Amino acid sequence: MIEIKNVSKSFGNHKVLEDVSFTVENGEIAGYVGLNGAGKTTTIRIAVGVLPPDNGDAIIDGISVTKEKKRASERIGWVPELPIFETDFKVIDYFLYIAGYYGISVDSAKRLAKEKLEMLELGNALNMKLAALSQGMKKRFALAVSLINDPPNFIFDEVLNGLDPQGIVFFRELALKFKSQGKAVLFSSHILSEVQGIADKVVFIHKGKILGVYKMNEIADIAKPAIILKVDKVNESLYVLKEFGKAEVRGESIALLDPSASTGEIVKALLEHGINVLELKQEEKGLEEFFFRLIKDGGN
Amino acid sequence: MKPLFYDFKRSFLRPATVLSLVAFIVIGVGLSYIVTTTLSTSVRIYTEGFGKIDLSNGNFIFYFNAYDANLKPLNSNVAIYLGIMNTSANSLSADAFQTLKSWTFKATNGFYALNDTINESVLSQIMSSQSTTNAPSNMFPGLRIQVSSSLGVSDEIIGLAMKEGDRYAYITPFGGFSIIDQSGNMIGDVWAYLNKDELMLTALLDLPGNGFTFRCAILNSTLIPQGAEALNNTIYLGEANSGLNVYKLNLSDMNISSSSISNVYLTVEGPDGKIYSSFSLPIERVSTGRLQGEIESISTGSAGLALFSLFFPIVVLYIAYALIAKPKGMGALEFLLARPISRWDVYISRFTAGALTTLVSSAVFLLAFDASLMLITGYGISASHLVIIFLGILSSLLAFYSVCYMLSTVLGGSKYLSLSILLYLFFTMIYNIIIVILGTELYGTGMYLSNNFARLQYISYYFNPIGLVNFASYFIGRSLNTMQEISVVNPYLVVVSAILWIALPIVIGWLLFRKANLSR
Repeated sequence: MIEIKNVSKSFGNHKVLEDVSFTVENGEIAGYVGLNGAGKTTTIRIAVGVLPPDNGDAIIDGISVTKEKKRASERIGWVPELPIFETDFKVIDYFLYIAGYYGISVDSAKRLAKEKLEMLELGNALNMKLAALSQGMKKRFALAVSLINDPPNFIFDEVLNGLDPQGIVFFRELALKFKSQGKAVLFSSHILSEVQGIADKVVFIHKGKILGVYKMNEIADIAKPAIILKVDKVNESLYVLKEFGKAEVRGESIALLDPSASTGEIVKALLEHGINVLELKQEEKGLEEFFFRLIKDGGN
Repeated sequence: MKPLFYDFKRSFLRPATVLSLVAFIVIGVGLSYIVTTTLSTSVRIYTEGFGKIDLSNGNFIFYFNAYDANLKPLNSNVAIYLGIMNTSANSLSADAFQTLKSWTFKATNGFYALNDTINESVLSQIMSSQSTTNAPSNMFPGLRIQVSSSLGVSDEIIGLAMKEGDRYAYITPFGGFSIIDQSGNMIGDVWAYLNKDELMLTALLDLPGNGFTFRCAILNSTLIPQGAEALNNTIYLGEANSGLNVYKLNLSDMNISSSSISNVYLTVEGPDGKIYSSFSLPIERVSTGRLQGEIESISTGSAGLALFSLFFPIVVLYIAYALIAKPKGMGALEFLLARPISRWDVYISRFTAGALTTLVSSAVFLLAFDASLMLITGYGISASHLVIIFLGILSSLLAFYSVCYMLSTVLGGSKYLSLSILLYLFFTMIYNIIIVILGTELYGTGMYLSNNFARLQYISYYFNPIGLVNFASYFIGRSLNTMQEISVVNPYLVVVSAILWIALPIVIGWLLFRKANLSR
């Protein structure tokens, strides 16, 4: 379980996090969503123990990161958005070097390296310099290193950025696999739809403050899709459309929010009332609209 | 693999460190040669030679022996020239010595014996020049030997004996002393050296057979004792054989004051009881220890090992960059710190790795230098002085490393490099210039300056991490009596200064690193 408790952090006069608190339970994937610069990565760096907070603490399976960093770090894995390694190392050497910090002998570490790196399709890169790896390979290597002791908690920080579709699918499925293994997974992104389908809940952050923590079904309920219509008789159509949901005029179009019937039934009803439908489209930005509405309501 | 060992391995085996070390080892070997070059003009060697030609058949024997200034057998390259000396010519002129035949050889462990045959043409020239009737009075056959070694060179004319029928004739000058028997066929040359209470006699002998014994009398004048009683009072030295014979006497064991003696007189007794007696041979007083002092003084001086402590800080500066400043500047330490490891672990492990690299590099360089010195000269730096100079170099390098390491915790990448290079230049050059200016301003010029300036300089070394090595040179200089005492140099303060220079930056660096933002 990952607990972020009243964490605050400033860089100079710039307050980056302000009393940030949330929890990721075991067997749960929590999306951590906020705009770029909202404070997601800073929260995560504090959670994995690489940045000391000004106030508050991160608790990993009941162990304080600030007080018992080594023990806490044994229980959490981290794949950063842009993993940065010491570039003069070879892949295998850096793996062995880091395995040394886990107290693993050279022989065991070599076996482990082969197993993990081959599993993550880095078997051919053992003798490559870390500097020569692509972004995707670096993320997979960071994952391999984080899997050295198979920790019960995992944090993916904007991990889907810059990945090809195959890579995106890989990490999404991995998060689900970890969840099924009972691990607590924090999955950060600046795009809400990236965590859609995998997250059980979403923690929203904006300008260093938590805007809210919502279960995924709550978000789905609030952020329902809309149908955008262009018709020849606007006033008459509003009368017809109120039967199917809340309709509002947007310029020359009408938006039917959270429609209660299918698009075909709605169009049929309009035609039966002598209203011609000139244009129709499904609005898919429900999640993002929800997110921006949160920012608008709570962030500014 | 332990991360500390890994950090050490990659800091020590990185190309910059290895190449620099190799370069310094090569420089060290070069320094050994510089030491020998300097020695060849500052200390002397002792060469001994004795040659004999049998004029009836041209048989030539030559015995050679050489000692260094410490009376240790000397490895040397030797050239012998058999020729005609013109005693009336200027000794430096070309016609002072006309070479008829020459030999070259390497004398290992001091001694070399040569056997050869002189051809008719050379023999006839030799015979005509030594003839009392045909030759001009200023022309004599002679042997010239030129010796070159890592510990000095020599070029001199030595004794040549010639056998003509049953009779021996010998040609001056002789190196020391010879035994001649007009009726027998034994001849030799002897040298006597006195080092403190030890009298060493070296005899190059050509004996007609075995069973000879050697005796000597120690004299306080050039007068040789006369009569049978005098012969009975000689000291038995040992058996005498053809070739090199070395005898040592401890004068204090014999209750003889070394200050009062001046000559020795020697006898060789044959198996038939016949005694061959020598001339009075002057004793050469030798002061050993100077050679070792010279070697150490040159080695640890400004043109010697100090070069390492002057330039190796550049590598040290780079090690701190590679271990902390560079990964910190890139943001690469964060990924490492997400492992079960504390900041202190990273901080102290990498400091230790760099410190170990400095220690091993200094040790490798010093040992390589000492080994090359040993190989070339047969002498190394004494163990105690080696330890002192090692500690001096190490503390100096570690102090500078600590300062650089502290900087690396707050500055990343190029900013670190710029500032650390500036610091290096400051401590190696600018700082010293400031001290010179300060000294001149405070004490003016002339003698008054030189005494006070030395004190000021040594005070300044306490406040300069790279300057700490100068104290090691000072302590060695004092021990060799090559340096004046300087009142401001206190061994305890030197140790405190070194500890503070190393420890304070580590502590300050840690306080900065503990809370530092390690992201790019």
